[in-house]
Amino acid sequence: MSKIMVVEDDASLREIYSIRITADGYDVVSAGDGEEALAVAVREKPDLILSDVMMPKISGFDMLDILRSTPETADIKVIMMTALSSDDQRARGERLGANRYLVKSQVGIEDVVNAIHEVLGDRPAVPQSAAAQPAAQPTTPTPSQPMTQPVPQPMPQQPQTTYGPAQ
Amino acid sequence: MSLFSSKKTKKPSASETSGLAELALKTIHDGVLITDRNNIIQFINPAAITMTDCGSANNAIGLDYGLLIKLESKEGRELSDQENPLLNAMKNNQPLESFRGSLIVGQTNKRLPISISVLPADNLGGQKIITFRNITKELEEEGAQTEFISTASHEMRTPVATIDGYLSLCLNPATATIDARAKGYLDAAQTASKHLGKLFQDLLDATKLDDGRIRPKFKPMEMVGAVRTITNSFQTRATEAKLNLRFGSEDISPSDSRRLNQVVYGFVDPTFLVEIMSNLIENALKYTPAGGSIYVNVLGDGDRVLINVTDTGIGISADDLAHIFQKFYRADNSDTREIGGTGLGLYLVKQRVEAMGGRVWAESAFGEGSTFYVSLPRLTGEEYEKRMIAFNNNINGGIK
Repeated sequence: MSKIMVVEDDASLREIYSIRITADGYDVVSAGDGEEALAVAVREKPDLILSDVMMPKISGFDMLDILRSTPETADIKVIMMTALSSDDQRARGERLGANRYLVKSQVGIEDVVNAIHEVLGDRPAVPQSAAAQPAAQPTTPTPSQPMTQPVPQPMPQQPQTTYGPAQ
Repeated sequence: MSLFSSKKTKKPSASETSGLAELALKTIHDGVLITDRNNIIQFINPAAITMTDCGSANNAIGLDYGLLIKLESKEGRELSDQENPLLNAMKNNQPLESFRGSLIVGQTNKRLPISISVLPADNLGGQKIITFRNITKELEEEGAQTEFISTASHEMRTPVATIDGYLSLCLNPATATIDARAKGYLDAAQTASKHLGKLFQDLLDATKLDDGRIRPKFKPMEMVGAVRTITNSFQTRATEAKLNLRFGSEDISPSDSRRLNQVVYGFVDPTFLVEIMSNLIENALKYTPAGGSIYVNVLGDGDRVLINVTDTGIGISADDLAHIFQKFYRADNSDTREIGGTGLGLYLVKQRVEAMGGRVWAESAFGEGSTFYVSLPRLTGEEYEKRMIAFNNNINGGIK
């Protein structure tokens, strides 16, 4: 079963993500900052890391940089999450090899779970309703759509359960 | 008993009064200029001499005011003739009330943030009085306030996200088991927490522009296509709400009732455009009951891009219409109270439209639907090509 590492400095949010992701059948390990995350990544070898960007000690970006330059962890899939939506941040995430870059105020926890499934290719992204699951589709090898759009996605496309502000 | 008739003090003579007036003009920190009917400077006070760095009254008197008072927008953008309220006031002999702009100081690269007003004198001379003041301190204070709101809003997002997250876990059968009553209460709690979250997000968005932390990043764009794309992204929601959402045809255009499938170019910040259109369309969706219609249209109107969002919804009363673009203003009637909102959406729209050199206004009557207009600077095909080349060069050659 795929293993996910959740890196988030807020303990409650860490718990919420862990519980929700476990409910989809994944194994979950977690870390409270970038430094701990690197140690846990080497030890646990997760298939995917879900990480906040703004954290104490070392930022999510620095952590990503180190992950990508360490052979044992270079191929781990990474989804970055941030409160900041600036284009330079997104570009930086892309450059450092993040598979996805999600902006907290625009996505909800269900979108995060969908993103995890998409990146791992173990179930295609499910739209708003919990429909019967269609056959799995292969993951795209390159960083996917949301990071490379020239025009930003209009907000209303997001499904109902929002992590932050309401639609 | 009148305040003015109680004491018997000697009134100043005409020359004393004149001396007092001169003293006032010499002492105050506000800059004062008087021009004749042809906009030539006849008088300039010391504060104005200092702020414009022109050296002496002699250097200014006899000049056209425009040679001395050169303005940019408060964000430091060049102001086209159309967008320059000082120019228009002086040209048309109209008053101008407290326009905030950036004064280009003399021959230097320095800029001074000012608030400038024009008052046509009500005598036969046709003179005009220009006053302006340095608003650096005001901006600092406003900045501190904005910073506070911004920090506070940002801090509050984590607890709000946490509340929403735990509520989601409660409501998800895969992670918790609850009875029907609890589900009802928790659903309601989650709706409230989402509303709170949106309020903080809107506050943050509003402050980001206020304190200059974000500035528009302009890009030459084909506007009809861009707005069509944004409109189309709302189709699902419109259908769910049983509303008819249409782009382009059968709209209400203030200048021309023909509808041409034009290609119209503008120079806008794409993110701002999305935010503006999203806000206006969301409002239309919110305030139009099922069965109604919403039309979004883009026209080239002379040298402007004119966008309108028209709905057949509940409309806005004349009283409210004057205030709807103010921060936190919400029209208060039985319909709106049920619908809910943060009162920041239109403030944000106005901010962003104006940051791009545009104008936004609304026409409506209570019970009769509304139309919101956004007017933005337009590019000709040629200008568009030129700017696209420059833009692409910057992207490829510039530092990211």
